[in-house]
Amino acid sequence: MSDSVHQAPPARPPAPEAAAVLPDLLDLDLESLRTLDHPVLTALLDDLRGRGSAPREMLWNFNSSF
Amino acid sequence: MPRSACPSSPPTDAGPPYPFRQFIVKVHGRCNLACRYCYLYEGPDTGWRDRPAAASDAVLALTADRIAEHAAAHRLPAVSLVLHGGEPLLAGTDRLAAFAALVRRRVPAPTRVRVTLQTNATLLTAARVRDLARARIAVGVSLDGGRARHNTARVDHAGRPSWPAALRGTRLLAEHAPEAYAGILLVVDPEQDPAEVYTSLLRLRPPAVDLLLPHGNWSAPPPGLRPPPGPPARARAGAPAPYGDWLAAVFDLWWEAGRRQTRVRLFEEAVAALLGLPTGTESLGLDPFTAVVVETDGSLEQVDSLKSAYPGAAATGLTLAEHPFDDALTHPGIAARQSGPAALAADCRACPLLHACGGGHYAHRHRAGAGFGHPSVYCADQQRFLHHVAAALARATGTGPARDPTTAGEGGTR
Ligand code: SF4
Repeated sequence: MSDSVHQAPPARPPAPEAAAVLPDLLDLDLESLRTLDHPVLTALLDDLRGRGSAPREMLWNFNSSF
Repeated sequence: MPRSACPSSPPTDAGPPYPFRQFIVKVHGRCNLACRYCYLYEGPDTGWRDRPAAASDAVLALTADRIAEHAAAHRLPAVSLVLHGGEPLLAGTDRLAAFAALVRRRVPAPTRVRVTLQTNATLLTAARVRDLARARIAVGVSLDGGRARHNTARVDHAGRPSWPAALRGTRLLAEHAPEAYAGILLVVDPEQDPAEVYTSLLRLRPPAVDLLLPHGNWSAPPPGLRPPPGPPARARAGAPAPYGDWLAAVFDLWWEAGRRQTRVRLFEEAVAALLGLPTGTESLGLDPFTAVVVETDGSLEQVDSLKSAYPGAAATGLTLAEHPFDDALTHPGIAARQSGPAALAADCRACPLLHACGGGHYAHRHRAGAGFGHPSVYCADQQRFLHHVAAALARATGTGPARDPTTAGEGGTR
């Protein structure tokens, strides 16, 4: 092997300037979001139903195909 | 119920290794096209030259047995079989259908088998589309856009454009077998107009689209990116993010269309990741990667995208003849992609976007001689895109400040 494939991450300190903080979206109630008047979000939330209970059974993460 | 911001532990077991659930089988290792940017055939790894052009009957039968063995041992509810290449249609649809049927026969109930094929669409005919649909093989098409001028790099070995044949094939799929039409994969070119590319894709009526970033890394940066000198590090605020800007522009068209015109995997997975849900993409999130490749000679490899980093990067040294899939789970490269934050750079572990970004695509973290323990070379683009989506989501849901902080001086995202 010509390169170190999977070296441990370098032990350098994090960059001093943290990336900006995200809005707090992690505690949103998905069911109540479905009542919002946003058709794209509503359709998407329909697809995301079930990810909380059986999250990975039908999730495929290889990008180079459908 | 609040969701975890660090979805790194599946519900069915305590930790890694996580069984493979997606099997990418190189049914044919050559391609009828010679796309000018192809990292597989034009990139640093030339391992394909030493392998048989096509997988033999024996390799396919062994693959089916090994998938069945793995599914049974781990009691998998479902597996995904991906017929890949090269150009998998060079194997012939009879052969593809027979292999799909064999895997379905061998894999024991109750495991379901989902079969997809990824093609450049140039070899699709009405009869082949019918054969694939009948075999319950869903077909994904790889294009650079919905117009001839978007696809000028996609040429055959004589340099002739592939677009007329690709367009014909994609339309056959949309018109004659929409049930077998999985969608379109597109590699982003920020030089192209995002609105024009997106709307041109919609005319091909894909049920889904995915937008992929071209493979590149800190030592071989992607087109149009010039990472700052020095060791790889998290991008500073205001760093140029041409890919992030491009994705944000398409996101707005999709998000504000008033109805979902098509599913866009990257966007939907970004929303899922930002909501703290598990993700189904390599580009985002912290979920364990559970795909493995079977080459035409029956060797086991990691995914091809690693070959964009350096020759041999995807190799495991294992073969199906001698090794069950379980043996590959302990390979350091595969284990690293199942380790969540522990395998990421310090910058990523300290990043407020960690749960959504996950350090970006693994191949994009590489630096020659220093491995993969870095932020993505697309760090600025990941930040721009994710903040943009988060701001749109915050506006739609009335949650917190609805401003994209990576867009200096703007009160919103538009
Ligand atoms: S998690 Fe993503 S956005 Fe954060 S530093 Fe790593 S690559 Fe950059």
